[in-house]
Amino acid sequence: MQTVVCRFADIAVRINYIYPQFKQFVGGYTLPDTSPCDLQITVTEQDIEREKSLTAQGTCVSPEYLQTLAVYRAFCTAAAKMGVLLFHGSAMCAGGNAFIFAAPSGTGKSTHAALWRNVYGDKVRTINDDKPLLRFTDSGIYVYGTPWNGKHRLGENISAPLKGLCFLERAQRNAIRPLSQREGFPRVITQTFLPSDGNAQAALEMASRLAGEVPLWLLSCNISEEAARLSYTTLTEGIK
Amino acid sequence: MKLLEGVFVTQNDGDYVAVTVGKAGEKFSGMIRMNGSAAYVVNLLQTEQTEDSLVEALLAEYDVSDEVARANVRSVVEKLQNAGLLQA
Repeated sequence: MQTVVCRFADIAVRINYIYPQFKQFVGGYTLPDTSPCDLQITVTEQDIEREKSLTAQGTCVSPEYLQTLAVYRAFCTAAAKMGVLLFHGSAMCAGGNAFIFAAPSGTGKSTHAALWRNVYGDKVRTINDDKPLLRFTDSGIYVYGTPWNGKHRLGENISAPLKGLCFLERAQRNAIRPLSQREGFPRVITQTFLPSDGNAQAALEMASRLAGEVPLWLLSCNISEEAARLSYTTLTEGIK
Repeated sequence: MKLLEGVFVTQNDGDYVAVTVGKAGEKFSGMIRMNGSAAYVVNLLQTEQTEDSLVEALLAEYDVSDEVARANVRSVVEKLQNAGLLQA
C-alpha cells in the first residue's frame, strides 16, 4: 500500500492505494506528504472488484483504471457532506467564468467543447472534459478541474465560478433556449453523482441549488463552428 | 409499512422531488415530483408506519378533514407501492 496527498476542489485528501500508477494519474494535484488532510481514503481490492462489477459487461478494463474509479467514488461520496459535488459534463472557462456542457454519454459534449477550442483558441480553457467537481459556497458555485477528465485527458488544475449549464441534444439545425428550473432539474439530476449512502441527501440539495442558481440552457446542435458560436455568445452573454 | 433504503426528498422550485439511490434505485430510477403534504408522508415512511399513523400525523400538520387526509395517504402509498419503493 502506498500513500499520496492530493487536493481536489480545495479538499485535502490522503489516499492509500494499491497500484503504483495512481501517483502519476494525480500528478498536478498532489500536496507534500506531511500536509494536514480533511479526508482519508483507503482503496481495497474489494472496492476495485466492485467497480469492475459496475462497468459494462464485456468491456476490458485494467485494475489501475478501476482503482481510479474507486478512489473518485469514495472521495465524491465523502465530499458531498463538505459542499462538493461531482457533475458529469465538459467544463470550459471563458472570460474567467465557467460553463458546463452536459448530455448523456455519446451525445457529443466533448465534441462541442472541442469546437469552442477550435473557434476561440486561447480565449477558452478546458477545466475538465468529463467529471469536474462543483464547490458550493456562500458566494456562488465554483467549478474545479480534477485528474478524472475523460478519455482524452483534457483539463487543468484551475477553478472558476459557474455561470451557465448547457444541456446538449443533437439536431439538424442549431438553436438554443433557456430552460426553466422545473424543466432543468430532472436533467441536472441525471448528470449528478448521488452517493449510494445517506450523503445522497446533501448531494441532492446541492443539485437543487444548482438548478435554481445557475442559468440553464438547452442547445440543439449539429457539429459545426456555427453551433459553437451560438452557444458561446448565448452563454457568455446570459450571465445572471 | 416502510420505504426501501435510498429514497431522498429535496425541495425544488416551490415543491418537492424524490429520487432514489442504492436499493431503492434498483427498483425505481427517475424522480417523483410532489407537493408538500405528499413529501411529508414520504418522509414519515422513512420509519415504520401504518395507514392510521400516517393519517394521524398528516392531520396534526395540515388543516384538512379526516377523509381528505386518508385519501391523500392512500394515494401516496399506492404510488410508492406501484413504484416498488415500499418494503415487502
